[in-house]
Amino acid sequence: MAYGFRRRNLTRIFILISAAILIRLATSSKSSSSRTKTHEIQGHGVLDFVHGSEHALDARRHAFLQSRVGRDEREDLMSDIVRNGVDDYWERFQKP
Amino acid sequence: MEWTITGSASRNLSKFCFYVTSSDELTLHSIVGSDTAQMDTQSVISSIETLLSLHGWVAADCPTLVRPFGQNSHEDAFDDLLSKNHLYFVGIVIHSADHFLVDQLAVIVQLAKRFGPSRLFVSMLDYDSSDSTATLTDLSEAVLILLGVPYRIRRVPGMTADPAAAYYPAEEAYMRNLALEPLNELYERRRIKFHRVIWLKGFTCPNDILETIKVSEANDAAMVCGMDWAEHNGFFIFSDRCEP
Repeated sequence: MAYGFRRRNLTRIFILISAAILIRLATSSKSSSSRTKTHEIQGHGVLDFVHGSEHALDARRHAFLQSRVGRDEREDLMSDIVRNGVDDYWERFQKP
Repeated sequence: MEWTITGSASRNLSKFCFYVTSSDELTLHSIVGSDTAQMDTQSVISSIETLLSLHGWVAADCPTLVRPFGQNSHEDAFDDLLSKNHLYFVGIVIHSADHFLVDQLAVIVQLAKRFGPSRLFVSMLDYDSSDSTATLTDLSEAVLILLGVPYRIRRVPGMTADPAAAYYPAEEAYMRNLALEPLNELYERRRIKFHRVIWLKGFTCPNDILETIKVSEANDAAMVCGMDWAEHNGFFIFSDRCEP
């Protein structure tokens, strides 16, 4: 070869990359990605198909099956006091 | 399905709070750190045992009630139903009704005991409640976490700002659809199909839920309503009968 690069090496690199992608797909199901909202039901990862449908609603296997939405979203009695405290701490100690 | 045996609801409520928080007066009563987690788990577990035994609750009267189909006398009547590997979706909408929630939770725990925790999905919708429902849903959450029952507990603001202007059917449809959201998500994203949706409205005994499921299966019914009735001197009086 002109570049000192044999075809066998190309094949090895290809196999390496595809193996890495496969391992990445297998180990990280979609539930582990932090961008998706945690309270929503996640789609299947590769390993979920392996385990079959007996564990479909196993809350200890899938954390997103137990979720709490909308708690502490609205103002309550202490909200302004808490906010004042946080602002005060930011103004006096944290502000760069 | 609503029964007329709910006179002592507030007493049960205080009893539940007592059972959950009776471990030690000087410690924190919620699981906030690893140092107190074990003790708090113990107190929640003891409250689950209370829920399971149904002692001193509205639900404690369930086994003693007379039923037209003999739900309570034939304990093995539901064995075939329980042995099937069906999934059930339990839906509850709470609109400032904290006096019901504890007994409904007791029924859910009973169902989880019969079916197994991973065959239920509990969807609770707290629709703009102004009473202690928020706190009670916290307790429900603790119980469901410890039992490993999948759930989604959601609090939403009201549909209309002024309650006097609310149009009841529209609000009811809106909140029921919100409570059914996990059902659609579970089907769209994970292809999980539930056999039946169980709506808990008011109070229902666990055996009557199983009987209702059996009735819906026997009739191939898409929807089965519980009936509102009471036993009086051996006769059954239906309160939702229609007058000619």
